[in-house]
Amino acid sequence: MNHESPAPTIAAAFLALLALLALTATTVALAFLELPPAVHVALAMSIAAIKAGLVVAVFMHLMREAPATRLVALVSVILLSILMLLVVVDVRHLGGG
Amino acid sequence: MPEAVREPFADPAHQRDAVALGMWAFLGQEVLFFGVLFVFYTSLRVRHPELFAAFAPRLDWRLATVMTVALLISSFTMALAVRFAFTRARRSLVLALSTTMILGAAFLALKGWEYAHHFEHGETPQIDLAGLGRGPGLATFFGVYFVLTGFHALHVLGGLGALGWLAVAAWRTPASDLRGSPVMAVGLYWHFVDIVWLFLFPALYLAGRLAP
Repeated sequence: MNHESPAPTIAAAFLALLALLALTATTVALAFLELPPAVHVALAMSIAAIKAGLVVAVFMHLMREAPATRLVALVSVILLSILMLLVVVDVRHLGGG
Repeated sequence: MPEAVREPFADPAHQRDAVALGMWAFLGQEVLFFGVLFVFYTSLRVRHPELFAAFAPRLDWRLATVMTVALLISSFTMALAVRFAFTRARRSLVLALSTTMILGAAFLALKGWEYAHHFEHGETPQIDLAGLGRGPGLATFFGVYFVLTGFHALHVLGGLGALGWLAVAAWRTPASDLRGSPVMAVGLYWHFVDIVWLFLFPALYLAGRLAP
């Protein structure tokens, strides 16, 4: 696909780093708020997912890769989601474990 | 001059694409490996939220924040290393790889210091025979903690080895012979290990109520 460097430009990488540091500060600050535990978990994991998306998109340049490569990455995330979803349903609602 | 091409690839771009595909397939398996560990964590957290309320505050979120920052900056320097490898900026490449290694080693040093602190305070994942029948306790929480962070730390250690190998190779190779693909492959692995920590950090260290 790419004859040149697949890595981000120095400016793009630096902007991504600043965003990641800001999100880290945000997630730590939110942990101090008085919120229901479920809201805490949802917020913290959403921010972690956004950070992971930034790393994948900018540092790991996934969008510049071939369609087959993007498919492999997508399938692994879908499989993990199915695994996690079914275990949570089992433990919470079906008396599993 | 383009990057040296090995059999059976037609050109450098083709070769680079194949390295990327292979690396992502490997990382897909790693996603499921850590996924299973996170399922272990999730199952315990859903069934026994009281464990996390009681013992997560024993983890040092300030230290973990510093470790998070170290890994994030190391991902930034790793991305620069990949760029320098493809543009054959040899000195910058060695510098970026070394900086990434120093940050990774700092992460591991802090992790080791943290482990030593837990062992000093009896916060170990031992099997609590005396506590059988009283439900899961400290040993269960620290069992999850050590399994998750331990496997992550081993991955950081493996990454450091690969980075060291790249740095030595870059040091010995004339700039005109530098190849980008190996640095890119190690970079993808390093960023993945960073992502795992981005989930471990809130899952463990921010799980307890953080009293000021």
